[in-house]
Amino acid sequence: MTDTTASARPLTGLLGHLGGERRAIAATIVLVTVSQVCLGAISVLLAAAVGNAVVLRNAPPGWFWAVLGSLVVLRALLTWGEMDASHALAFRVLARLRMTLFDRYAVALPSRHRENVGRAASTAMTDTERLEFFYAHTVAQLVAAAVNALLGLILLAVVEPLLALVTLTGLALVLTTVPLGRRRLEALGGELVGATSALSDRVVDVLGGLREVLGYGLHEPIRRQLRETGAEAARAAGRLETTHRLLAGAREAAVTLVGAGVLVGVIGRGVAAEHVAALVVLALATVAPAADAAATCARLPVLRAAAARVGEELTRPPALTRDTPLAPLPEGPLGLRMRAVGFGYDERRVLDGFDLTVAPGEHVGLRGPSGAGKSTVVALASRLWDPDTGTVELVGPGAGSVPISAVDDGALRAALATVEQDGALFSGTVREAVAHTSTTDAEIEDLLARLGLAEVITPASHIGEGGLRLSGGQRARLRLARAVLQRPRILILDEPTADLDETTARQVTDLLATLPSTMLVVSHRQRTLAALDRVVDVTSSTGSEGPENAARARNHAGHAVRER
Amino acid sequence: MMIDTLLLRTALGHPGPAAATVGLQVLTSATYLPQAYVLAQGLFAVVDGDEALVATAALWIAGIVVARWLLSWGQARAAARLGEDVRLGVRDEALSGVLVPEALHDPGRRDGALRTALVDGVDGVDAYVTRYLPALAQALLLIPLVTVLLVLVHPLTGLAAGLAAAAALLAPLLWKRLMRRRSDHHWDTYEGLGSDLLEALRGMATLRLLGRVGSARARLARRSEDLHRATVRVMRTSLLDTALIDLAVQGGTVAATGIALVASVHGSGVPPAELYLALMLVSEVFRPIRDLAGAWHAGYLGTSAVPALRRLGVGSDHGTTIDGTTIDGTTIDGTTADDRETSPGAALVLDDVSFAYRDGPAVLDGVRATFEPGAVTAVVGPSGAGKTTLLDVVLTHLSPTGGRVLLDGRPVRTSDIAVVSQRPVLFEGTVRENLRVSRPDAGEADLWSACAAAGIEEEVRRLPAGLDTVIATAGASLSGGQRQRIALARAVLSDRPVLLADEPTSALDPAAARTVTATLGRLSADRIVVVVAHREESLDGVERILELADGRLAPLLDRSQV
Repeated sequence: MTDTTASARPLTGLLGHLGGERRAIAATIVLVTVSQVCLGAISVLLAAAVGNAVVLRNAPPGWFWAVLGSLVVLRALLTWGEMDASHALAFRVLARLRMTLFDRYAVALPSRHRENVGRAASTAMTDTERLEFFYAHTVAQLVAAAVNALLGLILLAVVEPLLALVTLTGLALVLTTVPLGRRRLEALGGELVGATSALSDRVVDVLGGLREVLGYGLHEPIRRQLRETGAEAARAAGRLETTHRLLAGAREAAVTLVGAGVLVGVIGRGVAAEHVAALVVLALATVAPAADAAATCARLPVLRAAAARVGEELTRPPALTRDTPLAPLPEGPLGLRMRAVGFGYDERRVLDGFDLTVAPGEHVGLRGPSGAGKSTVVALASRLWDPDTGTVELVGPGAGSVPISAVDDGALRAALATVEQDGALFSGTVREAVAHTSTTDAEIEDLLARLGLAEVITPASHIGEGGLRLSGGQRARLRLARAVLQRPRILILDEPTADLDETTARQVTDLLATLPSTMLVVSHRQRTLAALDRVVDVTSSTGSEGPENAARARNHAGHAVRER
Repeated sequence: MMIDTLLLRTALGHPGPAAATVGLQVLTSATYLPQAYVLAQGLFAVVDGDEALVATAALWIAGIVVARWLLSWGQARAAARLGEDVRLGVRDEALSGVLVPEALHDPGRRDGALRTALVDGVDGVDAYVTRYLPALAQALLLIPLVTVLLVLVHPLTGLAAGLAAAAALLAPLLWKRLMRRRSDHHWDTYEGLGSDLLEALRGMATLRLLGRVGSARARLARRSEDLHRATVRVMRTSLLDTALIDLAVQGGTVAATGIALVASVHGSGVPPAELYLALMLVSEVFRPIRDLAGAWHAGYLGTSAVPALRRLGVGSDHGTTIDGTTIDGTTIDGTTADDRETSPGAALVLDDVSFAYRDGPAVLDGVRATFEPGAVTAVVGPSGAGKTTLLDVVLTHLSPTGGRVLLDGRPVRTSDIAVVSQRPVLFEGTVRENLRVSRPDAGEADLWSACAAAGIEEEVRRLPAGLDTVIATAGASLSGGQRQRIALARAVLSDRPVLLADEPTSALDPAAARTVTATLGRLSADRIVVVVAHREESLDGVERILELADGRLAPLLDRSQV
């Protein structure tokens, strides 16, 4: 048993999350142990009484039944108390573990691959639930089984050493089933956890693309795919359960054979006939809890896979890679300076030696072919990620400047607001979606009116998950409203007018023109760009737009930046 | 005891594996009866001093143990098969309830909740069907059987044990409704946490950029705390069950054995040889109860997921809506075979089409228009005018509240239309797989010519593995414009008679936009091409423009008639 826990590194790692629960764990252990010994005592006493009645033809006195009765009640109470304590403890730990996972995701997402978050969701929900069993049952059960077995063996040895030997052999047999199936269980557990999270990924992917699925009539391929992934998980689960049952059968056989062994063992040993039944039951009561404990150990390999997943997720690399000593933001209007910035997704370099300066108070447009890295510039200027090379700085009106990575996150987010092209809108009311702590309903209503949304929504309207109740253009304006209400010193906008008709786009550009913030606006739209102070062209370093591109002057490793 | 009719029906839907699972389970547990008999004989043989009989008894026990081992292995295999059938069946059925057009416009839809039901909920159903139900069937069959055997040994003992077992089995029915309510609440909080969590993970970029990670965390912590409380409440109720069952089992054992013992000692009915048998049988009466209590934990998640699965239509025979036709006879499944080929030059006709969302004003109010091949038609209108709604009606994602949409004189089908949506979604997989969804048999040359037509060929060739480059979820590893053109290539490849493009150039730079516009113009030669747009730039070279305003379509420009 100690061997199992020692090699279970992922699980051992998770034991840390039990911190602060020492008293609860100790209480559970005591409760389980007493409860188990209680159960054994009831069975043994009852068998002893029956043995006496059969052989000596006498019934136990009245107080004997009173003792048995109180033991029965005590056992019921202990069962309840023990289960209650262990489950409350386990679910408390799970709630904590879930939040620890979220905290990790909060610094690690989105990763550069922007991979599926279905896996993350499945780890935080399904894998943690699996660990409930570990936290609730394992430790207390192992300790209780050991104490119980020790007590039983001592009693048996006192009566007749041979019986203790028979029982000890049975115990050893029961315990060998633990290492016996471990490899197979571990492999199957890994398969199960892997297939389940693949299934989860797929489901999330399909739900996110429901419109495409319906449009292309992809029901059948999707159902087939999910059926295949699901079948893999189901098969692993089935094989896992079958293995468990085989091992459980072996343990059960060992327990029963201990009973038969004791029966044969008492022959010619001079044990009083009236005690035989009690001894058989005592031997069984000594081994049976150990068999249950071994069953618990057999569940660990699956949990180990789940624990390994949780452990892996807890060590995800952070999205931000630069750790610069904190420095205060300069006072007054803020500008932005990117110098020799390089950034890539896997093998694909998107930016290389990219330079951009936005003076405090200036409204600058960013234009370029699709795939040239405009949205990446937005992500780096907003410190969603840190660049691989080069620097991003916030500059004050004087000479003062500070690397963006040196600014405290809270201060940065208060000073800089970004509107992504496909930014998330969270289910809830408009007020919840756009308001900051000091925002009044009047301000929201005023802004909605300026953006032409007043007739469509009020601060109390519900917008549905992802803003489902709104049209694309309405969603875009709501995202903008959210950023504007923050009164940022720098506002970064990715295609704020792409989803808008001419009239609405003008409302947006008019609004932007009145804002005192420094602004960086990515857009394809001539009229949106025309309202800005200056426009910068970004050209793909590996651009292929035609021969005219080759002739374009390039600074810094192929990134052409032209200013109007 | 918790019986769910839906889950019971689900199990009965696989009669063969279900019968094998239950039958073998009963058989496995039934082997304890001869074992009890032999052990009693053995114990009495010790009293008698009959050593040969003791040895025989031990051998018999060994034989029975081996038989039981084999039976339980067979049972596990049968259960595994049943479990696989049930999981796949239920998930497929639930999925059919998810992959419906209504889901697109369902403001209450939470993807995290759906994920939870489809993955965790369905797995829970497996556990309920393969573990809890067989344990229940075994209890209902074996408890009366063993009680009768015990009555034959000593009627009063049998009666006492039988009554205690019945009480342990039936008592929980008294607070079944409380349990149900708490269990529903538990599932709701589980789903709620799953939904908020998935939403937060999906929107982590936005949360970070807005500096709102903290408030999202607080919300999740609250949800997590709710879940913890709800779980513990359910557990408390069920653990009370466990305690009472334990009381009934241990109390019943002591009482029944005590009755037999006293009766035996006072010489009224139980000969000493049978007293051991009575002790063993009393223990067997309660064995199914102990097994059932053990299976409860496994079956619990399955029953609590039932309301969620029922909402997705599991068990309601709605499958036909997915595979076949809707009430009005419109095929909504793009993969069903066409009744007949659409004739070349066939027109798409909107005949007095109206639509209103529930409890909302009319979005479309008598739309009449005819679209034919030969030229690109654009539909323009201010933001929020109902352009996307109109697209969804034509795509049959929404059923019009009035009027009809006809292609070639018959109701239009989803499979008639290739669509490039405003925010196209690509699936996790290679570029090739994403293109082929619309035409699985497309060859290499078809793929490249579609890419060329959509103006993305060069960029695809430059990707690290060309067509075999893996695209991350929702195409997030590509830029918006690249995604849009891959979606266009996918639509080009599909060869469907109608191509609907929703803002196909909104994410494109002018050069790429020109490529796309030219492609659309070329494609319009032999198919109906409709572009929905709000930007004048996307309309270069478009010959016919209709404006959607006040729920109607009115011509704004028509060069094709000139």
